[in-house]
Amino acid sequence: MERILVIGVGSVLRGDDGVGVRVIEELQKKKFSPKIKLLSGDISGLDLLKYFPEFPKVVIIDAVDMKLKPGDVKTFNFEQIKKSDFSDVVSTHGIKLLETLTLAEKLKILPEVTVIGIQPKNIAFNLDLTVEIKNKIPYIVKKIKKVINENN
Amino acid sequence: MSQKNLNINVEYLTRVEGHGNIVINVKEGRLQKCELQIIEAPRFFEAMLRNRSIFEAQHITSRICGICSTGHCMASIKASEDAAGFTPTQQTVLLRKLLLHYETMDSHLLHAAFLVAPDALGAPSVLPLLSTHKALVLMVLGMKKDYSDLCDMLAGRHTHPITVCPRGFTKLPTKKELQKTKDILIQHKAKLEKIVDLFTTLKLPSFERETEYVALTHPDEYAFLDGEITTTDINSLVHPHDYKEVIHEFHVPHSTSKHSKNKRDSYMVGALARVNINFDKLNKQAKAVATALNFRTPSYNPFMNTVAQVIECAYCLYDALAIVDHLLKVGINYDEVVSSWPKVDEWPAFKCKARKGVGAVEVPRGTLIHEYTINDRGIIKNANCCIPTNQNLANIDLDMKKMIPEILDKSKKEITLLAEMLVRAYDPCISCSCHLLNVEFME
Repeated sequence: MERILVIGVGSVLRGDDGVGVRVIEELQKKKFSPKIKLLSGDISGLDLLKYFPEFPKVVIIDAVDMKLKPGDVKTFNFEQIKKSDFSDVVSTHGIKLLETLTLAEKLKILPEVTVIGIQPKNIAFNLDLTVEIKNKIPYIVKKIKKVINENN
Repeated sequence: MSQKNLNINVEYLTRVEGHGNIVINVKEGRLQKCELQIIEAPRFFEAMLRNRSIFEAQHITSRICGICSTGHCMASIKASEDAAGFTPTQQTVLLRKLLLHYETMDSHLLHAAFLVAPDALGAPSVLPLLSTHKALVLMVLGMKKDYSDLCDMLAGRHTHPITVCPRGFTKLPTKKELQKTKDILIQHKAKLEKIVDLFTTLKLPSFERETEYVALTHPDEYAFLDGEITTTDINSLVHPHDYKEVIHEFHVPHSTSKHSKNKRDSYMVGALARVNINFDKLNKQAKAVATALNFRTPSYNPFMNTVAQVIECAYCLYDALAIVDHLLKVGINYDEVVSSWPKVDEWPAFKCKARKGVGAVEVPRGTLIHEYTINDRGIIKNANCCIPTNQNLANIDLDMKKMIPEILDKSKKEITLLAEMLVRAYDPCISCSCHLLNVEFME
């Protein structure tokens, strides 16, 4: 069985931006094989790199601005999105998920990445998800389980 | 003077929730406009703290920033303890210092090696360095991994500390963990030398502008976790409670972030300000790095902020080693473990009454202040957070206003790069509490 890392990215203080973390909290209630590692929190960019060499497959759950309807979920891999060339990084605070994945690719440590993106509705400061997003959590959990099962 | 016309508008942080633009307009050789525009959604962290207990505040404020989360956590805890009339033990203070050193080294190293070094080497970003300086990039990433692992060990996880709370730590490091920490830090000695070697070969712009420098200072140590506020314009010490005597916040039309000034129109906080003020308190290893990098104090060149960061990396590394050695020698007192919320029998230790508490800490980008007004049950009724980047904004504007006329004979591309490098030298912390991924799909 392959080791899989499931990461929920986002800040729980920014409403729907925290959906990745909320999904992990939901997953933590279920039982998984020890080969599956669940990671959540407001992990910043490059700190994710250290996990990549250990996991051939990584699933990232994140609020993504895809210009879709709030609550729309889209699954994509890293090859499908435009890479960052670091050109707008003027501060260490600008090194984010996209830059981290680009760097991992250049370093040849990029695992097979599946991003489950959820179009947020409201990322203003508050601790709750909007109803549209909250209702999608069971669907996202199902999707993740499918990705995990496909590998085993 | 040249009759040059120039319009530069660098939209460099075009993220969803906040960005900053550099705007420079020159007409017939005269500077018309030159500013760093910060357009960022207000953060409301102060409002979020209202009606929260001082025993949970650090979990909220650490999320102000993903890079300086430990710094915010420390300022928060110090403000809470100050308000509650609680004094931490010596062991707690040492462990906090150690944790703060990890963050300072992590942040400084990333800034110096991944943002400043590419500029100085003429590379557009760190990515091309992967072909020209691969070993170095890998070494820096390895060091970053170490800081992350060290943080995991001491704080329960990296980025947002979980074991750190008012009163102490909910988990204390084992002897084995301390030994492992020591082993990792010892390996960093040689790695840091390589970073210093790199910086001896880098050429940073020679621009100078003398300004007021502000930092904490301490009679017995190089101030990071504790100290009183001082500046190069006042010859006195200001108690953190009286921070408003130095930090005068004001609003400007081109930025939604607050600006700050003291005696002049701006001042600088951060590594350069600290080294300028507290140079004599550096350890000998840090002073040796300063000599190797030709750093003379006081330095009025904002680009030298990065060199000051490398000097501080040496200070933090050797001070961290000294702390770990001491803890290994005397042993950790595990009776000091605390629960994250105080138990009923602990309450007499707090002298909660309606009053203010202030936590002042030197974090990677400068002096950070958290001020909480609490009630007699330890509930925060009002909060104010003075963020280092905000304090530097007015100074960045004035640096640009002096620098641009001095370099007008250069090409637009060169001027743009120098302006970007200047902003980068301060490593501004702009709206980093949200990690929303902004994706463009391939056509």
